Amino acid sequence: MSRRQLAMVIDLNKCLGCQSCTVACKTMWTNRDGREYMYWNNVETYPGQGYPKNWQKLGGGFDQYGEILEGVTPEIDEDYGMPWDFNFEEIALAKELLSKAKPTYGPNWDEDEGGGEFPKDNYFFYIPRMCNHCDDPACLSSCPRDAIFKRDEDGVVLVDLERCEGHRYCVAGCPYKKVFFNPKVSKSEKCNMCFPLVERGLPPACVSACAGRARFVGFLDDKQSAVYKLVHQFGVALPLLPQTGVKPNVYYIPPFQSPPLFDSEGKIVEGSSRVPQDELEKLFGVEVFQAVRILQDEKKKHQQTQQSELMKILIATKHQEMFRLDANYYQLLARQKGKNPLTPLEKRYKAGKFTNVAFNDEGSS
Amino acid sequence: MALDEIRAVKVPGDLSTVSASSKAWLSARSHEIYLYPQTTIRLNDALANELNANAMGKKAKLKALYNETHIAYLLQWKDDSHNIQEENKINSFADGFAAQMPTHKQDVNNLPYIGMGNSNQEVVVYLKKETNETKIFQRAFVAEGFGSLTRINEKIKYFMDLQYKNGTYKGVLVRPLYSEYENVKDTDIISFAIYDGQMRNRDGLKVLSSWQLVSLGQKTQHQVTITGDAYNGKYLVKEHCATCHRYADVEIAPRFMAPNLSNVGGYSIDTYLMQSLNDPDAVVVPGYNLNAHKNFEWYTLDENGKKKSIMPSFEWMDEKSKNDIVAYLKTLKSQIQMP
Repeated sequence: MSRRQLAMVIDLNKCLGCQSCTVACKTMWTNRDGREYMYWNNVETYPGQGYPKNWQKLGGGFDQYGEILEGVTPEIDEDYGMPWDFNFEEIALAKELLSKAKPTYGPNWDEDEGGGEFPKDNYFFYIPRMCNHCDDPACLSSCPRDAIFKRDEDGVVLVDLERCEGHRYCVAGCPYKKVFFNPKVSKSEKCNMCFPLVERGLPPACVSACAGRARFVGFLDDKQSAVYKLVHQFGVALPLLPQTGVKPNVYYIPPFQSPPLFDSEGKIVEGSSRVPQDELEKLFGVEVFQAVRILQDEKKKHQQTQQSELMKILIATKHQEMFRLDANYYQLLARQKGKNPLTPLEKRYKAGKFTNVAFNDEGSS
Repeated sequence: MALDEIRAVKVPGDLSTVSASSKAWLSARSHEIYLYPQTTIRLNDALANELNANAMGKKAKLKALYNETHIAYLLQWKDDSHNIQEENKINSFADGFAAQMPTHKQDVNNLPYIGMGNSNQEVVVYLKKETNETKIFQRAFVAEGFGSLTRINEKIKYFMDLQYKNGTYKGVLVRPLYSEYENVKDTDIISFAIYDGQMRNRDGLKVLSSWQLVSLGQKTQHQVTITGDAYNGKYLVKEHCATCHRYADVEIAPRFMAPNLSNVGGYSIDTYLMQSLNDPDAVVVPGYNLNAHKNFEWYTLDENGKKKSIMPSFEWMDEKSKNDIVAYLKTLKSQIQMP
């Protein structure tokens, strides 16, 4: 575990599957040099096969005794899907628009298909997925080269590309399959929490691009941060697949309201919910029931009194209240190490737990 | 393990870039060496573990030449499939070979741990992987144990060649007799590893030989051989070792409690096995990842940061019993694959 931990909370009730985060990440990090097939951040439809295909069945993580579990490395074409080109140059010759390669899978292969039977009980929701910057990263534990490390200052998990020899044990070890092998340079690569941005006071690309305002970011030990409040104070943000034993640091607000089911005559079943509770339990563990109850109660309270702090956080009217990045903290660290601190590019998120700078309201989001 | 003496043949002329197809090799003697699957530490690639569950040892031919400045080796082995790491694949692994040698070490009875050295007993590792014509994959490292490899490509001059023809690989390694890392006088000490891409071999997943002694000119150094009653040793090992170590078909111990001994007889020298019984702290098998296996600490750290093995010393045991144990451990190795 690191001294401090940067964490993210994603509100699945607000994620509209627009893929703005995916595109922001892609253009920032993975549209070139052997990373073309990679989506460090992707948004997948649940239930669905996900990205890479059936990642939940590919092993990795730890067993209940903390012993590393074996895993499978997915293949580019069959499991991730390689981007393909179209025959644009032939369209002028009145040819049909066709893909040059026959795609067999891709990151959104089964988007919006979901589960259940229309119109009775069909349902789906979106899950944005990225590296969880785990407390106990299985990728780090799998690496025979000690090439993966967890930064003490903020818990970000990074690959040391100088040490990585491209053995791919980390790909097998990650239970979320969020470490990727770059075949062009024969090295493993992964989400780095946009640390060059975070250190300069800007949220990661996926966070600032989120059109649904579904993502919160901050330090888990900072009691004024939204992530602390959602994870620890209210207990409504839960890690994905906690049974993997890796202690992930991307948390999710589970979907707590969904339309009712229809009976065989097409009539509404009063009090019912389309998202099956056991599916939520599969994703977030038994804690999800308590979290859903709190969310429902607080929503009711807010509708009646406008006084729910939790709902105010989740409605998220101001970016300053969603992101607390503590740019001053990174400056302090740099000074302690005798380095020149980088000037923050964004002033709104300078304040944090250790920096003794009053949280102010300058500028609006 | 009693080793056949390997003789390097002195030749006139330049050896520094002798290729695998050079006629110079005609004057060298051919020796057989055996390489065994590395099973000491199990890694977490499910597909690889399935493929290698019953991995067999490999036979290879070794030739050695030397002159005033260089020593050259030709390693020849059979491989039915020609594998390179393909550009757009993840599950694609290259064939290749590697050699390791102790740095400035001339005591043939106290050699670095066979898994790429151990603390304070450094080795130099040379690695070459098969590639297509446009690429070269060739690296030199120093290491103090599995996982600790650090590249020294720019600090050392060496030559490697790898050729595949008719189901046979020929690999050449040429290195200077004297360098920042090595000082070869009358005996060269070397161990080889072979990677089979088809078996998803890479990193620790490979077959490797025990330390080989190669004499330059007259043989001056002898390796201690320990003899004993392996039949009795089998019972002693079951009694004293099997609760922690897995080996062959004895799988009483939990999987990650201690190094797996299934091929320890294939790649260890006799004195190392005896040393491990008498002083388990002398060499703590490096590369064991405590993060991955939280239940079984193979070692603890003393106040000076030195690794202390959790294995108890067997110094108290009578010499005969210890010799019998070593004699049995020497029998622990996979069968050799017949072409």
